[in-house]
Amino acid sequence: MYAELHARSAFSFLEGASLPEDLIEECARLEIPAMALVDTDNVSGAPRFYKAAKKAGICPHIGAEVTAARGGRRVLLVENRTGYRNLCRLISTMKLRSAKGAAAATDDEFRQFAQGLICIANGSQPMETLVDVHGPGNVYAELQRHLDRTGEVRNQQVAAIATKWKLPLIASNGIRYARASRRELMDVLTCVRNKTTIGEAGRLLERNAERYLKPARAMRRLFADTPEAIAGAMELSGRLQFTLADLGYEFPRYPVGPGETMDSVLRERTMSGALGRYGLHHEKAYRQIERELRLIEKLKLSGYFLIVWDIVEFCRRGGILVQGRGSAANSAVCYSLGITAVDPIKMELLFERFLSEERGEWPDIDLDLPSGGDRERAIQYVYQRYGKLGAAMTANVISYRSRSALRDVGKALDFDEETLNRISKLSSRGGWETENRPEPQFETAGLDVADARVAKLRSLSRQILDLPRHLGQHSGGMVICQGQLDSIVPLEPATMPGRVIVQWDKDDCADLGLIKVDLLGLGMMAVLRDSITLIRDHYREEVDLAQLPANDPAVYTALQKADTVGMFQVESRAQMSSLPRMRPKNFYDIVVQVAIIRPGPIAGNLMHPYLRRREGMERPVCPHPLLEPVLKRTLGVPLFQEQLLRMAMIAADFTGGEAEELRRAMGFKRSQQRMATIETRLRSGMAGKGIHGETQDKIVKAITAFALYGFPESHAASFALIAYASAYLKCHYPAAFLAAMLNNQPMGFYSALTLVKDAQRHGLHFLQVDVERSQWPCSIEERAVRLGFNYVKGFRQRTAETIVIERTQSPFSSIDDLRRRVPSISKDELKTLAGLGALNRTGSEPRHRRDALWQSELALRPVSELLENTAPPQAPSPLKPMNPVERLHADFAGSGLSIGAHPMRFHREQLDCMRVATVAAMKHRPDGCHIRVAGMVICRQQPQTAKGFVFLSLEDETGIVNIILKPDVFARLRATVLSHAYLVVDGVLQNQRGAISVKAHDVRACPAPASAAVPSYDFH
Amino acid sequence: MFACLFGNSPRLPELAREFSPLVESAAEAVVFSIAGLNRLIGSTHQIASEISRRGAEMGITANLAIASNPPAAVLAARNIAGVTIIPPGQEADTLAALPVEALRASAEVSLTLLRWGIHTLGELAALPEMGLVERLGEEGSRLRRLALGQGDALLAIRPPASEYTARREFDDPVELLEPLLFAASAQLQELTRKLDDDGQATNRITVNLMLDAGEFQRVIELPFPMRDARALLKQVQLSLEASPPPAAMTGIEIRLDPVEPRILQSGLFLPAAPEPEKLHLLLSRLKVLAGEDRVGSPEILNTHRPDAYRFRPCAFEPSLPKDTARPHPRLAIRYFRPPPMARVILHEGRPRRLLSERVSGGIVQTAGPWRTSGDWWTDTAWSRDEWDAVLEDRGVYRIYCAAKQWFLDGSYD
Repeated sequence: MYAELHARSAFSFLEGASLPEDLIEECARLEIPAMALVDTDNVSGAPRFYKAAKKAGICPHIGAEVTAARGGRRVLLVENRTGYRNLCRLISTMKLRSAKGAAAATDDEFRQFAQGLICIANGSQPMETLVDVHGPGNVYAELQRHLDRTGEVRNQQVAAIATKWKLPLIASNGIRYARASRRELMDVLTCVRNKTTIGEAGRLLERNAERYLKPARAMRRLFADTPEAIAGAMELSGRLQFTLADLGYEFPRYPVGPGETMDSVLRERTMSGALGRYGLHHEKAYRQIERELRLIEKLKLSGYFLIVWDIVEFCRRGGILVQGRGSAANSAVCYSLGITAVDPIKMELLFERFLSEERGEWPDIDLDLPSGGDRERAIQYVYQRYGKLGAAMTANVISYRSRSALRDVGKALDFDEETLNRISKLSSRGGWETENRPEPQFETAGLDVADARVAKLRSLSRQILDLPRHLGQHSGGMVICQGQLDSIVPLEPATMPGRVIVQWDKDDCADLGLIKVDLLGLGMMAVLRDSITLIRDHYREEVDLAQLPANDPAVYTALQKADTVGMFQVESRAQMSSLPRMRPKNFYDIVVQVAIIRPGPIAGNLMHPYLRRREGMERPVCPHPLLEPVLKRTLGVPLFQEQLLRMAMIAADFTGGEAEELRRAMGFKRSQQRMATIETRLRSGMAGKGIHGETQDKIVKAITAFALYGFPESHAASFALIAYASAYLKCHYPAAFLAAMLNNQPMGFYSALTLVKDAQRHGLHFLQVDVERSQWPCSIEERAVRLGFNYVKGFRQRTAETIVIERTQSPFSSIDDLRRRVPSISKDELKTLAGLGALNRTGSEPRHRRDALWQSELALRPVSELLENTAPPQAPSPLKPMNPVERLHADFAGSGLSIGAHPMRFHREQLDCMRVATVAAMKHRPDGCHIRVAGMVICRQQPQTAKGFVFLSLEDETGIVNIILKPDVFARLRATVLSHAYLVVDGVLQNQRGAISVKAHDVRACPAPASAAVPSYDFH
Repeated sequence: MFACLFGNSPRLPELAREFSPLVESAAEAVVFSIAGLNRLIGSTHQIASEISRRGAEMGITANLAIASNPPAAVLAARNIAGVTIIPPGQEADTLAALPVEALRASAEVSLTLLRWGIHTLGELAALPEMGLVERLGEEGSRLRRLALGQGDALLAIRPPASEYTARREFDDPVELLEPLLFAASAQLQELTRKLDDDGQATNRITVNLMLDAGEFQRVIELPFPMRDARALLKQVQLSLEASPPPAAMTGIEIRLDPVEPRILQSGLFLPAAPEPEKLHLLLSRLKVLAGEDRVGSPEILNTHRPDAYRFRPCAFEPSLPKDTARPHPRLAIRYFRPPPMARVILHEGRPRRLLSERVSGGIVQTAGPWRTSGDWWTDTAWSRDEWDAVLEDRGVYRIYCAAKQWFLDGSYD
């Protein structure tokens, strides 16, 4: 028997070439009973290593190679829980006080955190120090044999020192990869780490391919002269008792007053909240709340709910909009506590999807907050409340994807930048090429796939996929701990100042039972917040999102017409094309609409049966009368995950936990064996209820078909609330909504220009940036939107603020006056303002943009001190005013958008001669007719679910139209479609129930103002 | 008056010099004075016709412009196709329609003009001079004057570059090197004297030998600029001895590439070194004897591949001696190059007997295998297992097995 006690995984970030799971798989194949994972300065791979080892029946030891300040790395193995805590604290201590990438532990730190750790001495550190710090009984001398002369010299030195200090010997193979074939990838990773190429790396590369997992027989043969080293490894393995099962994590206790418990406080707060939500006599609600509270108490989760409630309360007190999303919306307790905004009783949502006794998992509560400063305030509150070492963000393990793989491997193999750009561009993003067919992209990029170097690029790019590259910060997941989080998992500073992350990602945290709260930034929440403020300031009205009129006709009219640009979740091209068919009439329709236009339901062919039944083209039928209460609302078509759970519970008597297990078994990582077991249980359950034969098959098929794709109803309902609110504000307070949208860009599906043009078509007026009127953000003047300085390219907020302060003293008398009173304004800033017309009303007489440009050049001239405060002579400008097209160009150049006429407007006469129809006119043409349309490309898409179809959104001065390109048409016209900002499209009109699109057969470039091009939003 | 030719022919300067000694050349354009030509050729139109005619004879396609000042002539030639004659006083009108890009102003000024809506030279010329100077400084004034077709730029005249070529044809074909070198010596004397006169040296000799059928060329790169005829002749001799011409020679042409001469200041504390010319000569002789790729300073390559080295050219710059600490004693190996093939008899996977032409015998002790492999990304990937073997005669050798073949790699001292 042999235990491998020194293995690095790919979590050593470019210093190991195999995933922890691959190492374990190889251990299992070679019948190695135990392995120690010792990644460099981290335990990021430990949870996955532990999980895989547990499954394979292999003993997973944990450790790390810790960088020493005096040079080299010290290999430390964890003996017990104290040792694990010390290892975590040692790594945290050195990382938190060092710059990123420069962490190293001092001798004092090693000494401070030595208890419970075993040190493996390999000759790189002075033995005297190691024995002194760790104690003679805790130091082992390590021999490694990689068939290398210098290694053998070191072995002899280590053996001699071991004899001198009477240290036990252990043998290891210093694993860097599971199998020898991964040596090539290891060499490539070495190049990436050292920023060099394979031809230049020289002796940085591996000398041979011996650092792979070897079976006990091979290791015994290798150490035939020192068999005690093999035995030593096994003995040491037996001494290492710690595994991650023994983490000792405890969720923080919520502080309660004397005589109170967390359960009692939660009950009291829930009930007082429920009174506000449901009144006194809602029996059904109180029954559900009681049921939930009992389960929460039983699972000892009261503290968790109170802590989330505490965060929500902080947000409320601070005026921060907050709304829970995800499965928490299934809980009446969360609704009563104000964590979520959807009433699960009214919506008949399923609590078991959120929490079940059988599942043994922490519930998942995600909070949506306005992105930006408000979200940061909430995060900082959590840090303050639980201390820097008691809370941290979860990590996001950045792994190699097809593009980064090709780029890094390509660079290492010395492919030139241009070739790599070519391949990367053709690589899969948004589904341009399928992941499993890289050959076409190599050929398309002009590479010979038969060439040996190209073949290496191909095979190594595949091998490197999914290998971790570095640790990033998760967008919002926070882990909180009772006591010191740094003794549960090492902490390290994130790139963002003031942020600390744990070394595990959110799945690892969940797997190891660490509870997390997701504080997610949502752009639309910021828009809602800003809209409310603008409405309060300019309309003198108070909008309460919780009290919006429920069935506002304007909202539903807009939704039914797919007039939804800017509305949350229902604005995309795909949403727009289905809305006229769906014709939402009530809130639940919006919930369905949010859930149905997803890759899942589309790929699972759920969308069309539902829409057909909704349009009356198909009869709504249920697979069995028993399921009617579950499927009635969705016309017999299961659309939501909660329906899957309920179907199993009703038809086969599954418990809530069993149903959730079914959902997981049918999820993306399907296991045939697990599925077969659950199907058997499902069928026997149905048989017990008298459901047999064809009906049984139909139900099983329905469940298995949509389990993969179903969207949680609770989540859809939370999003639908925000969608409704955004639609309501857009319809009733368009200026406030648009100003808020513009101030929170980039977000959503469309560019600022598209938002502006859509709003103009709805009659909203916009005012140009003006140094005498504009604020930093866009604002409202007389129900029109005044563009802010934030839409002046390259303009600094500090300069804008100085302008605003100065003009409150007195208006600027001239451009020169502006320059003198705002000395921080730069040459470029002043010129851009002049080009945009922002200086036209400065001074006593209005001027045109070119006049302002002429004067601003003079204002910028360097003058001597004597003349510094004197105004230059004001001679009339000899320049001609800009014509409308020139103004359009200046607008695009200075702000990226234009509030003047649409670029297509300038070519309408010419387009009329070409018999190009406007988008508005198309609505009156019959379905199936041939049509020619032209416009600015605002979006290009090739969804993975669309089987190679490409969709374009073209905008002209009258509206937006969808263009559909079949794969063969796109292949033929690819260059034109991708390289021109304005297109003319010939095709067949599809005008079905108000949903307008054109099936293109020819596309060409459109005459248009050449420089007035905006970047389209491509391939989202 | 000035004429400007604009085109991509390399012979534009040659054409210009046929009409004037005062020629300024630039990329794709030459400007030259035609003052006084009216007395020789006639009117401005006749001068233009004559230049065009001569250009056509020389096979040159170019725009031609004649104006009262060089900038106006250049602007017109660069931007107006064919022949343009601008009568004095009509420069501004002729150039008015040209785009402002023709002025090749700085990016910042170009952007400013674009923002002002100034697209042509006429529009630029119409702006008030004072206003322009106030806003764009001297650059504004200069551009406006150019737009008006005004300018007083002087021509930057340079004499044509000298050529250092000598050619001689023999009455009878020459078969031996000696008479050839005799001729070459005279040529080199003449060429180096010319170099000396011009304050130049050379770093490349091109020798073209005319053969009965075809030509034979040798190019000799010199490590530093030289102009010593004897040293150059020796280089030619060694080069031709190393690669003699394949047939009898009917003529020889020698061309020297001129470069700035080397300026050398010896250091007070630098050790005396042989004269670089002599050292280079010695190395050239050695290369003739040993082969081109077997002379130089050995450099160990950055690779795990055993015995990987290359020769790089010897450095001639003397340097201060490095601090030479006493090196650690090391076991030295003497490589056999190329390594002789061997037969090795194994016992339980370890070498037990070695048979080779150089050394044979029973192996009493081994260490190994020492495994190395690399260059897997090339078609010269390698992999080998080395063993250190003590033979019965106590000799210690290194043997290795690569691609199933054993070799005797070397012996340890």
